[in-house]
Amino acid sequence: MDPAVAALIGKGAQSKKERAMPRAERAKSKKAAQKQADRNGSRAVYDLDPDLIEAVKNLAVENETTASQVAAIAIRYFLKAMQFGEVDLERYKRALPKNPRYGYELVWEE
Amino acid sequence: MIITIANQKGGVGKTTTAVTLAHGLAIKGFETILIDLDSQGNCSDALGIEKGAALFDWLISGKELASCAVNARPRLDVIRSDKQTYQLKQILAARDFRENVLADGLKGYERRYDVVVMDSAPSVDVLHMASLVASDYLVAVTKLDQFSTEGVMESLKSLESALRATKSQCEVAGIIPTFYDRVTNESHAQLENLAQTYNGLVWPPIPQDTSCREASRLGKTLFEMQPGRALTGYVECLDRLIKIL
Repeated sequence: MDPAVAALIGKGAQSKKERAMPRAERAKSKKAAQKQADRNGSRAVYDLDPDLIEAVKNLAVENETTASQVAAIAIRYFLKAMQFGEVDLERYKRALPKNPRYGYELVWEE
Repeated sequence: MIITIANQKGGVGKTTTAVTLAHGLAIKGFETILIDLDSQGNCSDALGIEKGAALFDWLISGKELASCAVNARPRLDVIRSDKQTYQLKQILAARDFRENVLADGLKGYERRYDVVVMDSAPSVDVLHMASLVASDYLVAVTKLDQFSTEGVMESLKSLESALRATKSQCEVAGIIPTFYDRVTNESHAQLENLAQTYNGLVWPPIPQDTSCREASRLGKTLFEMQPGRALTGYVECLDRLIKIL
């Protein structure tokens, strides 16, 4: 399901549930929802290939930690490698001449 | 890329969707042509231009696509329609291979345009079938009510017929729910039902917004009005469409 549609449906279901609650419980539910929304400042959504998602998930299970933690370490490693010139993004770039938004896509061919 | 905007039910927002997406693509830098296949000629009204018989001239008189088009906005041309489209359909009905009329007419469109957006009429007629044969993608538009969602099913069945009977390679790009009312349970239930039936094909819904009616009245597109909820919804749909392009 499209993530934006899923989020809307979830929100709609939540609103329906809240309308049926007593006032005190409704306030508690809204507070929990606000806490979740605040967390979203540290949440990013990226499109990834399924094999990458699976690999991160498996590493998380093996190391008894969360997938977010594994992804964070992986990204920090990558950014450090970029900083020290160990990664050259140019070799992965493929031009997108007709795309008005982006000049290139990055293709992993290894 | 050729896209058809369709639903066999009327009044679901096909023209508003076609005009908004076409203008959005033009703003993003795509050379776009919008083709109005409906004899009501509402694309012209929505853009604040006069109706005309350009569709008839292009398909029956055999004139060049670009020469029949009028420029409506920067990078957005339009093939207008009017009551002569009735006559056009009667003439086509008597022809062999009439389902290829749009595909044949659009040969070589890439020399001038990046994207073709076709606004189809709310009926299963020769132009509706021809648009499915010619198109790379179908975008179905539906109000969140029972009759309109049945119209989506009928449009998808027409597409299946077109795929079986012709060389059409048309795929469903997405389904856009319109007139979404986040307050009512019925609207929410219909959205949930649609999303569960068609999964990833359902794009973010377009909220009910009076700016759509105002824009039509003024002959402006949503991009030319004060930004509202409907425009926000269409921008999300446009992003998904551009990803496909």
